[in-house]
Amino acid sequence: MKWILKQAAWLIASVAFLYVVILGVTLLLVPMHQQEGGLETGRAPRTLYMTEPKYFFLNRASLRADIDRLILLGASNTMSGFRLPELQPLIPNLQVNNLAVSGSNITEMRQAYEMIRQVQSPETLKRSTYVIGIWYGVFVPDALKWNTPDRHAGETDLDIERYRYGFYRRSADGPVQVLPSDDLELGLVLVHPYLAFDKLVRDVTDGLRARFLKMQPAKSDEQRNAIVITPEERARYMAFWQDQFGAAPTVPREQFEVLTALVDDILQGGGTVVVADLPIPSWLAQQSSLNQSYNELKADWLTQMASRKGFSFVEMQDAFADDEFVDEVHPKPRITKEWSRLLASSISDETAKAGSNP
Amino acid sequence: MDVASLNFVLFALLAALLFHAAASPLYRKFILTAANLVFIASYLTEFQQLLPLAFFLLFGYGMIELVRQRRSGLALTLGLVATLALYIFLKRFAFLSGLPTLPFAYLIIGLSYILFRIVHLMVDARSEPWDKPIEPWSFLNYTCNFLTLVSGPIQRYEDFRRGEQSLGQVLSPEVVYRSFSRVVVGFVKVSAISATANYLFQDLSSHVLGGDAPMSSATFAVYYAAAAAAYTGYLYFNFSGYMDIVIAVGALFNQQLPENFNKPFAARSFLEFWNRWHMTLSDWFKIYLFTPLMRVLATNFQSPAVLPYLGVIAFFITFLVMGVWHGTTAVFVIYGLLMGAGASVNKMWQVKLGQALGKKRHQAFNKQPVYIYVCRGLTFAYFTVAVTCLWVDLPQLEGLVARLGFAGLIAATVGLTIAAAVGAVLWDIGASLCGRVVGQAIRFENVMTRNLWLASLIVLIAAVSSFYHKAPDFVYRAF
Repeated sequence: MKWILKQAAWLIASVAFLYVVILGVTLLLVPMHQQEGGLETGRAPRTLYMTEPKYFFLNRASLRADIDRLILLGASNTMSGFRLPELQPLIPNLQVNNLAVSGSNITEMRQAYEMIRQVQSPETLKRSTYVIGIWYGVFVPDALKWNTPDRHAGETDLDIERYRYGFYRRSADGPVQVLPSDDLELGLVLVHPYLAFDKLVRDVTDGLRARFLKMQPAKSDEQRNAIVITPEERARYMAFWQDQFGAAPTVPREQFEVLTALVDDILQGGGTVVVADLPIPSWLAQQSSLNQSYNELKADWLTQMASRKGFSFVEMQDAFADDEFVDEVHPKPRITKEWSRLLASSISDETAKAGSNP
Repeated sequence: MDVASLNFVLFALLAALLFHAAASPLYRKFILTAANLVFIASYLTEFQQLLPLAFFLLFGYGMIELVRQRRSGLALTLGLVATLALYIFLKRFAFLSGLPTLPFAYLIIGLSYILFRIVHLMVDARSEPWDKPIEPWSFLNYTCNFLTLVSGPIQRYEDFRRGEQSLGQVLSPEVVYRSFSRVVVGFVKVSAISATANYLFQDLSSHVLGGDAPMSSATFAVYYAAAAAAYTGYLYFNFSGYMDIVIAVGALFNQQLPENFNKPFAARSFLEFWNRWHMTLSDWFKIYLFTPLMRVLATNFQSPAVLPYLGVIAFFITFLVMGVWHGTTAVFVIYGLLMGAGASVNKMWQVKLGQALGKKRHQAFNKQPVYIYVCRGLTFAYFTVAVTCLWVDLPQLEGLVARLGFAGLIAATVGLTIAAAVGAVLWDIGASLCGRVVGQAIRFENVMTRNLWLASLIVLIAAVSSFYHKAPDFVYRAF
């Protein structure tokens, strides 16, 4: 028994010593991420965090400051449609934070809100206006959405970030917080070597992954502006979303119920909510039975939500022509200013009506 | 409880500390039993889930005792048939889907390996002069050993008993260090190398199974070969890493568990491969299926001209059964047929080549470096193609074969053979150079340096694990 204890002690001490050395060296060689201004998950690949969920999860401590904010939640079209440098000047009295995460459904947006709430005081929560970007693709039920071979069943991309560095642990009742939210900055320092190593490996293997694996190489704005969608691509996009819904012909109600809960959470916290029905091309809007059922559910839902104070809705679904999209849902870079302008005008109107922001 | 997890390490460490808290063999045997029961209980959510497994153990024990008392061929046959029938019923083989099943979910983890042990005891109970029944407590610890329950290694009862007799031994610091060291290496294999191979496999296989992107036949064959090779890497590092962990933890409990791997990709033939891969399973099948089968065949076909070919038949049947054992669906029958075909063609080649060249020239030919590396490459390629059955279902296999076509399949196999042969050459050269350089430069004799080395491996495991969303499952648990 003595030798087992002695060996275990040696090993623990060695790991601790080595880790402190590695931490010191990494902090010297790779500076920590310095957040200036609002957060924008779209910038993640250019930071130490590399991915949007990680950028959001680890970087959210910067939302602590007690200021007025506009926070966008949504999926990749919210992220690419509302670029911070374009939207921020249009809403100068609020700090804009685009926290959309690609591939989100409403459940994951609600998790994002909960994670923001963890780092904000009740007073700060009241000073936020949330924009929730929706279209039918974010209403994929959890059982279908979060059930891929590379994850534990039911875990969202944000859940994966909770567990990745042990900030949370899994339990039968869901995630259990290990690192208190107040210590997020300390946690960030402790995991710095991992972040640096991750970035190094990703940078080194980028070319290989783009060439042989399924990683899509990033396209420039010029390339994206020049895209013309072929009929075959349209059919493929339609089939993709049909597959996402497990071949069901209609959108289930499940995620609308989660949306109701999310809106109520925000309103109860004292914030205001703008739900934006984001633009999609007409061929998708008209040919997809999913979109038709989504529109019906949305109409019912809006009736139900109408009486909520602090809640508003912006209809943008058919606001742009088909040739302004790079695929079935994402705008061409040349048009994103218009997306921002449209949203900003609604925000100004709605916040003025709600009167909740100075 | 997953063996390749931090929970298991902590559990094993705690159990080892309790085990060594007193030197009494009786006390230590009790701790082992408690550890076995806690380990099994970690898979249960309700008590009744344990009942079929408990019944299987009791039934097996009864059959062993019956055979021991009667020592007759009839008793042995009855015992084997009844135990196998119960096993097949509990395992819910797909081809028996029409049969009634128990009306509740139950634990089948470890059932296959318990079966191996029971059959081994039953056969030996007839042939060995055991004048006393097997002690039930030892039987429980032997069949339900938490280290070997899920996926082996398949320890022989005599070896287990020897271990029981040395339960009271005191551990030396060297044994403890080596045990810790091997656990860490096991985790490097499972959590870093096999996880990376699995990441590659998942991505590459989605190209060949997803069918979402158009690609030429040649590109498809390349993607298939790459996915299959990644799966083989995943399978090897996952399983051998798991074995490293359980064998190393076993040493902390004064157990000398048998090795299950011995550089399988250094094998020069498919038959040699199975002497290096999952060795305890191969040995088990050799003793309890191949040898009796050869005996029966040799008794019935005594012509000297036929004798060399009996091995071909026996190998085919043995490997067919071994392949089918891996799963309960139709695709595993195909796997078994491929295994059987590989073994019997290999045996046939040995016979024919020996006849054509004569003994001396055959031996000389077998030592030709080019022949050796081609054989190593072909062994890897054939195994890699055959284990495709472990990562597809039947419709996917049909689709894959249809898309590849005969030419694509041959091209993929040839490509894998060349790649593996070249890889083997480079590996041998690299290993020879590194062995000399590293062997002279680094000596981890000092307690601090060797623990720092282990610490660096642990940091590496943590770093690589953080890349992936999910630690890879222990792949052989499914078989």
